[in-house]
Amino acid sequence: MSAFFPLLEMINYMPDTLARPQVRQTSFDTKWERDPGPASRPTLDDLGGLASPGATHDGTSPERGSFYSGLTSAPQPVGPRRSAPALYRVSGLSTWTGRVVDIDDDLFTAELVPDASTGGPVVLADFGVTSVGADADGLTVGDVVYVTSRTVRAPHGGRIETSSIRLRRLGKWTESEVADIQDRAVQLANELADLID
Amino acid sequence: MPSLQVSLSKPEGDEIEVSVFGPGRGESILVHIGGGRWISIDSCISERSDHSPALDYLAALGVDVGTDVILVIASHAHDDHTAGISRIFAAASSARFVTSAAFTSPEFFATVEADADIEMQLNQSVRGEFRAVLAEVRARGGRGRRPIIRATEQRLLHGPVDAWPAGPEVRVLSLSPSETAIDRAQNAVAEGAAQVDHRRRLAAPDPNEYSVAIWVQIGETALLFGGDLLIGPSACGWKAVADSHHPDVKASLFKVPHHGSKGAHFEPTWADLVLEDVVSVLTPFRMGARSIPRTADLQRITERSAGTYITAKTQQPAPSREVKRTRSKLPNFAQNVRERDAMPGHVQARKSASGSWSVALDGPAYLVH
Repeated sequence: MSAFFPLLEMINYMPDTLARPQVRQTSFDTKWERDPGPASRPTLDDLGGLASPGATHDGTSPERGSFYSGLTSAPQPVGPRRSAPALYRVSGLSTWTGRVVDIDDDLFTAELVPDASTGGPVVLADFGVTSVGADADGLTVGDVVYVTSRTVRAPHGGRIETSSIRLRRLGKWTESEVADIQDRAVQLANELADLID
Repeated sequence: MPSLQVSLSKPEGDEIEVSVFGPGRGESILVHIGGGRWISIDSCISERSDHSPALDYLAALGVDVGTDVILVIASHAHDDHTAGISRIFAAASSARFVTSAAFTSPEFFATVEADADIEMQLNQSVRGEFRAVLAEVRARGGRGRRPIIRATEQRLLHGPVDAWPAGPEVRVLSLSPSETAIDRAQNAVAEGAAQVDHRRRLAAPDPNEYSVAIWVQIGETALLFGGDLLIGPSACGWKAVADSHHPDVKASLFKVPHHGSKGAHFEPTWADLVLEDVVSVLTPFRMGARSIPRTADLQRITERSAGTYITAKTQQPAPSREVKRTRSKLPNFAQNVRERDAMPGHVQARKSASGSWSVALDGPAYLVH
């Protein structure tokens, strides 16, 4: 089990004939609906590769300074394996950028702004601090989190819903950036010097 | 004390008015200090309409914001108190902008600039309103008096002048931050500023000890606006106010600080600065996992007041259809999904110089007790 997902992982699926195992719960959910059966069921590695387009093999994304955890470290479902069917389609993708506005004990509140294609109002939602995994210790107000919900359609009609939350890492300030900020701040202070009583 | 319907006619020249709007995103206060002159403290935006309820109200009254609003005050930099403040300041073209002295330092300006950089990555900002205000200040230039006033303890912001022809004197005073609080602010802001090899993040909220509390005195009538000022620490907050402010009259209307929280309740404030039959007004804070004021806070406030009014319920309103739809899309581990904002309520309190307060309510505002 990946060190990036110290929490439990839950995979719910509803096959027609098999009993429904409950595994564990984590900062992401994956739901399988109308499961076509274990023989054609994709592995989570398959889903990770398909559901995180642009993710590199080691899980980092091309985005500067950000790390996309993906699903690649999830355990495999029980059953015989086959090669992944050719066509899985991401049929729904909702994303929100969240700003942490309050932290109270083991909960944090984030203000979630939907991206343009997701739509809907800005909402507040509470999350367990541990839902951001290893980043929980350093979480502070002002931090930004990235929340996604994704639906993947299997070729035989099954639907998998996967969600995740991760701390958006914006990289670190470089020397030149800090120097530039300080220069601009001093310039602003000088401009305003005669305007402040 | 009966509640009336809000009046949309201008207050008389010798009539004092306090209107409090919230929560929306933030809280907003308008004060008619006599003679058609108004001051604005903080700001909020109605999520539903994206309008400033303060500007909408002044327009409904027929107030010329460009000439009649003389001060626009930002009690602190938390975005739950400054949402839309740049719109008010832009409209109030004759007004001076009042801000905590803690927010006029190069260290604070560095957070403003850093925020601008991060906003480009995230499309989110916490200093956006301040940037817009500063841009407006620069555009206005130094015509006449300097457009920004640094609020510190016992700083005269307006007056003393006659409130209306042959009327009593009016003065507007900032009671905070203290010098100690300003020093602490500058250190804290510097620590939180962009530093090499430190993680980029949006500015965390500034401690409430930098908040500006406002005292308005019109003749024998005094009003106390607590912002988000907390009790301490030592030589800061309400402790410092108690040491420095000794008025000859007590406030008959009190905008209770920090949404009625226990951390802002300082006994000497209630004993020495406000009357026993004070009218208390507050707005709820619903952004966090636990909302304030809590039941015990309301009980404590109502026991000290002749009437307590709040602009909206502390509990979240029932979710709209859009919120429910969003909730269904969000992961199961997102709890308590709710609207960020709601329709702001309005508490309108008016009195003549020698009369008693008459309070009217609109929207979700209600009389607690």
